[in-house]
Amino acid sequence: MKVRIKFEKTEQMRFIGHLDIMRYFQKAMRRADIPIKYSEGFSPHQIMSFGAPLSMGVSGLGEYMDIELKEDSHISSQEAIRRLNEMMCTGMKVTKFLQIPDNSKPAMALMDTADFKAEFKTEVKETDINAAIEKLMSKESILLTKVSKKKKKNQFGKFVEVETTSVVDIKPFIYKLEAIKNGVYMHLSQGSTNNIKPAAVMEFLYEEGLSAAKKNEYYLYRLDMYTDEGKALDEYGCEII
Amino acid sequence: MRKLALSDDILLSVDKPARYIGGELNSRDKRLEDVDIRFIMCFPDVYEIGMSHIGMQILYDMLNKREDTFCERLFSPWVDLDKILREKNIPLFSLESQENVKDADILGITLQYEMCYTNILQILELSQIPMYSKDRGEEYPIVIGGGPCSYNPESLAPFFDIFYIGEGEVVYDKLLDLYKECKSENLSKHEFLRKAAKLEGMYVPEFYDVSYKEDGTIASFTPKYEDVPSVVHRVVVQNMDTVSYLSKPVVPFIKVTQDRVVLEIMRGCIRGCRFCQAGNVYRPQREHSLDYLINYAKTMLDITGAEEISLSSLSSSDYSQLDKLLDFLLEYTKDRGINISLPSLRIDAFSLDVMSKVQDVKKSSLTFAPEAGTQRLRDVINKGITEEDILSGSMEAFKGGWNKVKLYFMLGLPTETDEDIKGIPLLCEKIAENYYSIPKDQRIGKVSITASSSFFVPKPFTPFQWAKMETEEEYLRRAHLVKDTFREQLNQKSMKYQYHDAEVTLLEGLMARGDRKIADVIVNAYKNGAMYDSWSDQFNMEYWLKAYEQSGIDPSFYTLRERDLDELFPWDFIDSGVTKEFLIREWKTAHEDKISPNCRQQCLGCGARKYNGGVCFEGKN
Repeated sequence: MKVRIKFEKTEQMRFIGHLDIMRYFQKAMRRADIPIKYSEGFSPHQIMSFGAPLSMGVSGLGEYMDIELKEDSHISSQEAIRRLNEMMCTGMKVTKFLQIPDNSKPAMALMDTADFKAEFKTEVKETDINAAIEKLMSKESILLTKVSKKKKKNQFGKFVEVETTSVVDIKPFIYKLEAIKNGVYMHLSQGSTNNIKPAAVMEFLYEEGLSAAKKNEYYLYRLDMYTDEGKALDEYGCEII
Repeated sequence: MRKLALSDDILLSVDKPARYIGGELNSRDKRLEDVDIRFIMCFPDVYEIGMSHIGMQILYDMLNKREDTFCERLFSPWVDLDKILREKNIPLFSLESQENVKDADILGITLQYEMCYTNILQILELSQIPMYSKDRGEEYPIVIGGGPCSYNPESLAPFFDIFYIGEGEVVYDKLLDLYKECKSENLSKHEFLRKAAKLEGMYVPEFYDVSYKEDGTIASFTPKYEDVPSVVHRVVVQNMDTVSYLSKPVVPFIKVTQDRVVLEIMRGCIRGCRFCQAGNVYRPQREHSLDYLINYAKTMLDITGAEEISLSSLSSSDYSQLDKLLDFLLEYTKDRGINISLPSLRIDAFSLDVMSKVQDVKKSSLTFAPEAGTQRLRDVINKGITEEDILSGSMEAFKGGWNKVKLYFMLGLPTETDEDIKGIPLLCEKIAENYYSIPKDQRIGKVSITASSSFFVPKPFTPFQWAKMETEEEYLRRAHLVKDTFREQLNQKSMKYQYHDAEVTLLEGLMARGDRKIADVIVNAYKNGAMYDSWSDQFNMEYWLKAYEQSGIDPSFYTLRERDLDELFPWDFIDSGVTKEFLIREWKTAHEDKISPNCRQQCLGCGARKYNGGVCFEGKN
């Protein structure tokens, strides 16, 4: 049985990287005695895959992972959530444990957009926030310069790091950008193509004169992830009774 | 929200911020107002190394069982954060409360290896605590050292208020009770230390005077006060099953060096290898009962959710119930996706059978530690392993499908000759020839033999504590002789050889048998920039060479000099269990190329019998 787990990663857990979160859940599954399925072989590993990684320092309120349960097992959503949460550290909380169709694509592949909230550390007037947003969004295009480093062979056949820069217009991929109480709400394109980072949008707002949008001057939250049908990833699952 | 000492800005700018935030599963949280004693347990190396150490977990768990005590953890900040803390003048903090270290009652530092000594000074300096005990007033924590290097605490003597000599489970409760009592009566640090010095196992360096002879050796070592004992006796757990059970190990967020449940199956060793400090100072060998270990393993795996369990001891094959323990572990881990790791097992039919069940034979390699290349030298060090054992063990393994072998050796052992040195490649060649004697259709490709050698460091309380070390040039000559001899072998293409750094070895040797004069060298080296000396990417010998000059110390006095049998050693005031008479006897037997029986074969009267436990009384109820 395929199961999608929704969880929150906040507070101190913001400083734990993606790979460590995976290891954290592998141990938590054992501690909570969740009947998770293992792969075959000498070092069996749990069948588990995660949604998009979260940048260091960002909180997640709607994070996802998919797991598979052993064929002959049964555990209710309520029981699984209770057991897992008994084994969590401060800053980690499981909110949903849902059965998804066997032919469901992994959470990572399904995610098409995500929404974010930036919360300023200092108090900022809503009019100031709105002014910056309006200024930015009234532009015809919002050009982001991306620098990527790639290893390429040079004329002597040796690998050297080559910097390539490309300029993209990210405006079509900002689906929503609104002022909220002491912060900004964003709904952005995500996934393997056109992945827009919320920090990049904040940087643009900073350039438009919103000084509170400076790096590390605000807390960032990823609120939820959505498919190309516009539904949140947990809308595809159902409660196990 | 838990308070963190560092801002987001700083945490996001350093490598692995999880090293500094605490809050891991099973880490304890107490309010400082609710406790009488704030104890900080420090491992002076980076988080991933320190959190792999089971001793620290045991003491953390034990001390936190006391309601009046909050035991917190502290590790060396990595060089990136070290720089920031200095620049911004941020005082070092403990992981749990995230409060300043300098405000704690006690700072306990574990001394696991000599090359972390400069990191102790880093911890003190970043905490804004004076390095020298004599410069610390009443407002600073009591600084206590413990662990293997405290068997010669003298190189570090001026930095510590107390050294705890022996096993942590024994006297800490008494010491903390005493501290609490003195604190409530408002007694001074000096008064507390005077009382502490009377507890068994407690060494307060400032209460002893040392005088030196003209040749630089120690003339006398005497207590300053009548009520301070002239001999400090090591404290020992008599019955392993009665010690405080590690109930809730802290589970790190980030991958640490040893990310697994560690099952300490016994302490001490019956073997008596003459170079080995642990095998001598942790006597007698004391086992946990099978029931204890089974319960413990189950509890630990359930609590941590770890995916691997490992056995820990000096020589696991000597555990009397090993077969039953492994049967249980194999059964218990089978459907739970848990791996078993089996270090320090003797390679024989039994261990190979177990290993083939727990690991992929094709991928894994087998490890032998012959330590020396010839039988003569293996007898000198009392290794108790014969060439026949190694050849038949490896042959069994080859027949079982293994084709990778690792071998560990030491160069520079007492009485070593060029013949012994050349013996290393010759032994490896014999193993390779053995492999290729198997018909081609029954073996899987080439054999891979990796030999590595370290240089021997004489340690206190071993039969080799009188031995001299060699110069760097001589060490390198010997390593090159091994290398060149490897090149002459028929199967050289199946064999690899690597050797350890000679400079670091000599430095380790200096600290291991140093006296109080060495402390000044450590301070100077640290001020010159030395830190994380056990990390080859951080180590810089220049800092130390300069420090020798600044302190006016000739390191060869400590490393290259063979000691007389009647020399008074800096550590001789400690009673570690094994007597000097025993060590002298073993030193002499070694020079006759003779082995000594192990504890189960015949008692050698080493002195450890007085602890009334373990192998000394096996089968003699």
